[in-house]
Parts: sequence; structure tokens; C-alpha cells
Amino acid sequence: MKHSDRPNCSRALLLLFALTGCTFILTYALPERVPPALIAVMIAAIAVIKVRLVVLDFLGLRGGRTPLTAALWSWAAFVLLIAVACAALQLSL
Amino acid sequence: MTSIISSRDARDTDNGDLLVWILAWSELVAFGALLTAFVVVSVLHPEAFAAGKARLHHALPIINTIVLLASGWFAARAAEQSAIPRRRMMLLAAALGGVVFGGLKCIEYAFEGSSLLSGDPFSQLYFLITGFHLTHVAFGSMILVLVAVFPTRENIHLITTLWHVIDIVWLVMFPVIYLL
Repeated sequence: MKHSDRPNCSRALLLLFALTGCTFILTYALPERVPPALIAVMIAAIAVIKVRLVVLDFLGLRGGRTPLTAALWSWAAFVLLIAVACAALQLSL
Repeated sequence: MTSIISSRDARDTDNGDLLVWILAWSELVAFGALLTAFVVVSVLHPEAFAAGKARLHHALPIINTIVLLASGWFAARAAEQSAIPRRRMMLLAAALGGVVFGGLKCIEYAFEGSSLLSGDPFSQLYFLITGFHLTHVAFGSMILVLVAVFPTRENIHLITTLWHVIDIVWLVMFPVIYLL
């Protein structure tokens, strides 16, 4: 494992807090002219990034070539994709 | 002889790892099905879900996200420690995070007036999914305290893996239920 591949829990936590702040801004502090579909996609993307950080750094799977890492964040991406698709469907109706 | 013992240890650890991941994936499949059901029903009853989401508290779920992430950090740090007292301290801090999460969630339920007995589909599904997650947090916190009493590497690996899976479920549940 390269030095840069080592899990760094504290750096991951700071990034996770920053991403949570981004989610708050996207949800409650953006002007209303921003398209809701774009906000939904960005919220889902941030959630997937957060899951990936937890998997890599908190679960300690960074640097390991295991299919478990991809499977875990794919699970999150799959559920969020369904949610975004349904939100987009409701917006288009 | 030493190599036989070490290979047996490695096999035991792998078996333990497999059991942990079977348990973790059964949780992910269950929550995946519940969240998909929530999204599908939201398309079938858009008015009830819009009204239900409007009743939800804005700040408490974000504070709870921060609390659960911090708790996950303590759990991850516990797995890194070699000194037993530091392992115990980190595990108890992670458990405290779970207790705070539970307390805030109960305040949120009281604020929203949510109940399984509510007539509308949003309240029923919302309470079912978040309540199921809350039970996992409560149970996980208890196990974290128990493992703090017996902080072997295997015990810590088991509970921290499950604790991070509970964390991952919340990170997906939060946007699906509250934001999208």
C-alpha cells in the first residue's frame, strides 16, 4: 500500500463535514432559479461521495483491490439513482 | 506447527469477516428495499408525500448526520488503537454518538408528530424506515459499550464494520427521505 493510499480518518471526517455543509447550502440556501433537477442530481452525487469516503477511510478499504468497495458505493448509487429518477419524473408531471 | 496455527488463525479471521459481511449486506438489502418502496410510493401519492416532507424538521437531520459521522470517526479510530484504554475511550465515544443521535431523533419525532398509526402513507413509511434505522443505532450503541468491556481486535472489527454500515445507510436515507 502506498503512503497516499492509507486510510486517513481525520481528513475523511473533515471532508464529510464539508460535504454535509454543501448539501445544506444546496437544499436551503440556493436561489430558487436553480433548476430543482440539477439540485437533486448534485445532492445524490454528494451522498455517493460521502459513502465512498466512509467505505475507503472509515472501513479502511482504501488501497485494497477488493470488489467490496465498488459494491458498497454502487449500492448507494443504485438507491439514489432510483430516488433521483422518481424526483425527475414528479417534476416533469 | 506455528505455520499450522497461523493458517488456522487466518482462516478463522476470514470466516469471521465473511459472517460480518453477510450480516452487513443483509442490512443493506433490507434498507435498499425499504427506501425503494418509499420512492415508489412517493410517485403514487405525490400530494401526501409533499405535505409529509413539508412537516419534517430541517436542522435536526443535518445535526444528526454530523453526530453519526463523528461517531463513525471514533469507531474507525478505535480500530486503529493498540492501547486498550484508548480503544475503550474511542468505543464509548462512538456509543455516545449513537445515544445523542437517538435522543435527537426522538425529539424530531415529537416535533413532527410522526407515528406508525398515522393514516397517511408518508408518515407510516417514514416512521417505519427511520425507526428501523434508529433501532439499529440503539442496538449498535449497546454493542459498542459491550465491546468496550471486551475490546479484542475481532470484536472491534465486527462492531465497527456494522457501525459504518449503519452510517452508510443513514447517508443514503437522509437525501432520499428528507431532500429529494
